[in-house]
Amino acid sequence: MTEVKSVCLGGIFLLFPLLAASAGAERIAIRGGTILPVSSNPISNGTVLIENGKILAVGADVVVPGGAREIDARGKFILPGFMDAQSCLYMVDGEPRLLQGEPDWNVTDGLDPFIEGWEEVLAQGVTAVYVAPPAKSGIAGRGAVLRLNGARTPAKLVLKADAAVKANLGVSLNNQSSSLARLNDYADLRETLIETQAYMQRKRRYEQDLAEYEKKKGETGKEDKKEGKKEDIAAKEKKPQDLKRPDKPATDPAHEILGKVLDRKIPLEITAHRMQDILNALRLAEEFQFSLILDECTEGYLVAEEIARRKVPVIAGPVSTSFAEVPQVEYRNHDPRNAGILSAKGVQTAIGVGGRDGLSSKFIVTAAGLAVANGMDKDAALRAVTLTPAEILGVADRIGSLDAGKDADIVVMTGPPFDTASQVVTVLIEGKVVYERKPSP
Amino acid sequence: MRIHRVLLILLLISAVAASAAAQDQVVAIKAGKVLPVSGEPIDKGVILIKGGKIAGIGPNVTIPEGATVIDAASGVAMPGLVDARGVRPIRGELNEQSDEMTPAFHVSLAIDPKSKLLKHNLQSGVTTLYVSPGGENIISGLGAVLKPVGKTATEMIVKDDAALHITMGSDSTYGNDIPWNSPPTNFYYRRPGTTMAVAWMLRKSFFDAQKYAEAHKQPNPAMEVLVTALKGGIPIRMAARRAIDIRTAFRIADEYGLKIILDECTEGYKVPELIASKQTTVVLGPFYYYPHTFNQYSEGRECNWNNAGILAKAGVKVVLSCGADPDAADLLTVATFAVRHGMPADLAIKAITVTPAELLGVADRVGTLAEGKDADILILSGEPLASTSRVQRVLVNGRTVYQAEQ
Amino acid sequence: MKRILVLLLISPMLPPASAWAADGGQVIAIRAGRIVTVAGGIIENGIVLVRGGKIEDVGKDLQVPGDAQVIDASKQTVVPGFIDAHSHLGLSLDALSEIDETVQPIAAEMQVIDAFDPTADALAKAVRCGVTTAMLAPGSRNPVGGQTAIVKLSGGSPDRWLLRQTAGVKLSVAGDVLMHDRKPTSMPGLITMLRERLDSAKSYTAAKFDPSTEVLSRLVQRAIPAYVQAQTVDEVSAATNLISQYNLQAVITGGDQADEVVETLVQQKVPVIYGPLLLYSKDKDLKRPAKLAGAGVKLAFSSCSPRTCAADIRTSAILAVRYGLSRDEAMKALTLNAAEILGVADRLGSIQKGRDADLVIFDADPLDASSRVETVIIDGKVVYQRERT
Repeated sequence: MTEVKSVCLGGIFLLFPLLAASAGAERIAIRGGTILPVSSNPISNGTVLIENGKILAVGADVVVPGGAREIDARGKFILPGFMDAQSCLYMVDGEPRLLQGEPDWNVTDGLDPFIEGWEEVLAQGVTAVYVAPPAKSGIAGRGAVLRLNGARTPAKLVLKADAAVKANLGVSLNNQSSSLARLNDYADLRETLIETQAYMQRKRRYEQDLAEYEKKKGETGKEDKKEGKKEDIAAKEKKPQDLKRPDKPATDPAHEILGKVLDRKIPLEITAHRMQDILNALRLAEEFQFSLILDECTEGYLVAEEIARRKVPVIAGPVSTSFAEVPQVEYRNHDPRNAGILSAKGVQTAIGVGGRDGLSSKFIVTAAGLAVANGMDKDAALRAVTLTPAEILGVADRIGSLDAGKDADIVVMTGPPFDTASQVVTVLIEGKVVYERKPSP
Repeated sequence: MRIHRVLLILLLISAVAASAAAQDQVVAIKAGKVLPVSGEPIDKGVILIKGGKIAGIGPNVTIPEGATVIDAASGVAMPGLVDARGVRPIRGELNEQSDEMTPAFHVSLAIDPKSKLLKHNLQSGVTTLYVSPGGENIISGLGAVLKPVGKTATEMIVKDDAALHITMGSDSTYGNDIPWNSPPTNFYYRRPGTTMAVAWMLRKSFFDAQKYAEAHKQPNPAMEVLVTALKGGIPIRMAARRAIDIRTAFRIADEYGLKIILDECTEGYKVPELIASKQTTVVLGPFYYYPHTFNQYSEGRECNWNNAGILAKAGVKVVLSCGADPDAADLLTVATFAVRHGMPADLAIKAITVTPAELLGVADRVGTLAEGKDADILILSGEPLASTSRVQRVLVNGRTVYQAEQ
Repeated sequence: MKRILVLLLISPMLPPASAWAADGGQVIAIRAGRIVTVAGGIIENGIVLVRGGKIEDVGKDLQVPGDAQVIDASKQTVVPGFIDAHSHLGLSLDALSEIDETVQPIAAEMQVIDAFDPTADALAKAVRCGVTTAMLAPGSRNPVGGQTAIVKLSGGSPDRWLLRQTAGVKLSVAGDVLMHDRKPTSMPGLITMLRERLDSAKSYTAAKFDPSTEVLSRLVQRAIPAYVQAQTVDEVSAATNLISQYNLQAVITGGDQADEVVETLVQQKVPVIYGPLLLYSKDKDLKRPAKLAGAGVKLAFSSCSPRTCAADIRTSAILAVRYGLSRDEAMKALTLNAAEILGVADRLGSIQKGRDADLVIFDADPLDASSRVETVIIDGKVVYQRERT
């Protein structure tokens, strides 16, 4: 493999003068630092080689071609960009939180790329966020993974649209939490999914009927041609009674999206705090066989084994309950040790900040650090804000770790990520330096 | 490398020393035209500033060596504007709603040094403003004169408790309600509900204050303020829009032997002789090109664009103000508007500078450009009454506090 | 696995009251890699000796009695227990309105201790994160909210955990205080109301007993301090004006923009119980505690729990350090400064002879987010020990 690489590098080197002129051909080498790839063990005194916005190579012995721009990372740490899978960045703040949504509402329709403070989030090394419509009750809509690349249109922020459909269990329309609400929510969600099943059936039947109709129509037409023109009129008079074009059932955008959920093309992300709601979510996943993601999962530690057994991933809720916007009852049994316990039990656990402000994503690493303080394994905690959220939301082929072939979304820090003194000095997204810390005066 | 570093250090030291001496630094403004307001305009005039005050003004003033020169060769320098009812940099409520009569309400306690409206004032050329309490109480309290520059309210205030505010008309009736089927649940269950009640409650307050002045057991801050007002110890400003309310204001003032100042005076044009006969100064504003909505509470239905001109020509001392509304026209526009609709130009300029300064009792410091006065200066790109003129620079106490972007 | 889970869950449960019976004889010796005394610098590889609930001695090369329970913290750091200097811990379950008696704006006779549940779960959670003492306060929606109290988070009988039933009086000039349907609706109305009350407190005599005014009279006589909630610049100015006008012994709580008028705070020697800093604070706000401390203001941290967890005073400290506060100042803010501000520095806030043995052992620097609390000792008893998995 290395030999092939060397040959390829040699080839690229020859073409360098040509490639250098074209955008994105820039080769960057970040050298000399401690690399934390996340997907594998740390590498001392390592180099990350970037080309065309992708990671070309990661290692201690990477050959750096001439002409590559060098970023000196001696004495520093090189990590994948951080990801907050429970963000509300780019969503217009100050708005009252909608208590209701619709399955087809798309979060990308409401993003503000110029939202105040996004640069402060980027300056802390956060390069990707997952955002979903903010409704706290029922089915909220379609979430997306975004990148903090400074794009001026929402479309260009999006790394993956329809990363999940978000729903809630346990909090009712008027932001109340009650047993009745819990029963109601569960029944509502279940009914909606049953309706989707019926809708999908109708759709499939229509498609079948249409295919048959087209087939029969084609056959009748061929007969006409054989019998000659005289028979056409008679033949036409025959058709209306025998063959009728099937009626197309009305398209319902909500069911279209939920259909994709039932087909396991899009996961259903359910926010659930109380144990009953978590178990209800697991039951629904079992009944309808969709791919489930649990969000917040506040009392998850009480049923960690159940969650692990069913291999359901969790985006764990905030370590601290500052300014929680759901009824206090939902957070009554909040325990900051939750993420650590889930992870120790074998649950694929990402960490979110669950903040009510887009700027909450800023200190996702501090939140991960606090999870470690509350018992989570250090490596698992770092993974929980890099590779795990990427895996859960289906973008791990692009981001989440320092591996060849992935996008060059990289953070350089002055020290280990959980140390308070460690500052972010450089951030790259797709191989472009998007942030550089100014030296303090 | 080392030499460069030494030079840099030397530069830094000299810069620090320079800023320390800034207090004594002389600033000279060379303007295309200077409008002192207290005298004739000066072509190619110079204003010297030292220690925050005007040290010299004239066509042939010598500029000392080392002075910072502000070149306004194409501009017009005039006194910073004085807004006798300015846009208020406060945070929160302007009225203590729990009572209709709050004479001891000090608006100075509500001043917010972080208010965005401070810049609003500076950008409009206003360097001194009077901040009044709100108008939703009959007697709403005590206003303050301040300059829109400073880190704390104390730094900003020039004169605290500068006047007492009374609002005639229906503002105070708004929101007062008598619930139909339930007992009163909050303090809005109260008088007044009508204009008559407003007048009655005002009379009662003055009456009670007189009784209090004769004999009282406990000191009462609210009553103390009213007693001072009855004795003429503090200016009284009565806001009245309709002619009816203007007449009522004078009637009550006469009953108690009070000299008053009229605010708003929207229908003043209907009773100019009455106002002139009382030798009352009038503070007009806010100005809108179109009257407010036609509901009873705005009372601006019968406004007249020629109001200022008619009053001025009848011999009434007119002050023009923003009427405390940030959405209304700014002070220079107000003056242009007044002139366009009949007010003599020189009176209009005075109406936004020296006349309000005299009204507010701060004419010893602001309102004109003269030696010894505060260096509060407005530099425009052209004549103040030309609607194309822009505010280029504003100085307060000799320091540039606003400069237009180039 | 299940056993570990169960152990993890019961480990913060505190021993029943009977276990708190006088046990003066037991000596604990903590061999620590690092001892942050706060009052007397840092001791590397030292020993803290605890006897009878107090710190008997601290230093290098101390004699450890043979019967001592030795805690091996040789790779760890010992600090004084953290003090949440302004908290609503254990005061309310679901409704924050438990701490605001807004029906009457001046509620000086209310005592926050009457709303305190010493067995609330929140206390155990706070202890697990190294917080051992809290000043409980009423909310900030009343101009005068009531009397504050100082408690240890140890549980057990009140003579153990109640340090001060009336530590001071909570006042507020912060925005939440203004109402729509009752007095006061405006800032001037609020200040006038407070002035009137303080004026009548000055002329108060016991002959005409009135519980509310009686408390305020102690305030104007400087017998007890005022804790004044003030956040924006104009609120802080209003507070300092009031403090100076009535010559009160006072502390600002909240103090979000206090750094912008820091000269007044320094001149009047008014400390600030800051915060909380939040995980979504803006950079410019995160720099403020450093500015306050840099100018010489005595700084402590507040959680306003349950607005943020009591444990988040450490998070506030971490964020403040990240944005310019020195680690020394941050540690002081969490310990000695808080104790001095609350008037309990003779017992708490530092590791020295004679102080209460309220100690926390961290596995690394307490001001790094990932550092874990290994052991918490209150009054010389281990109240929390992390399970090693």
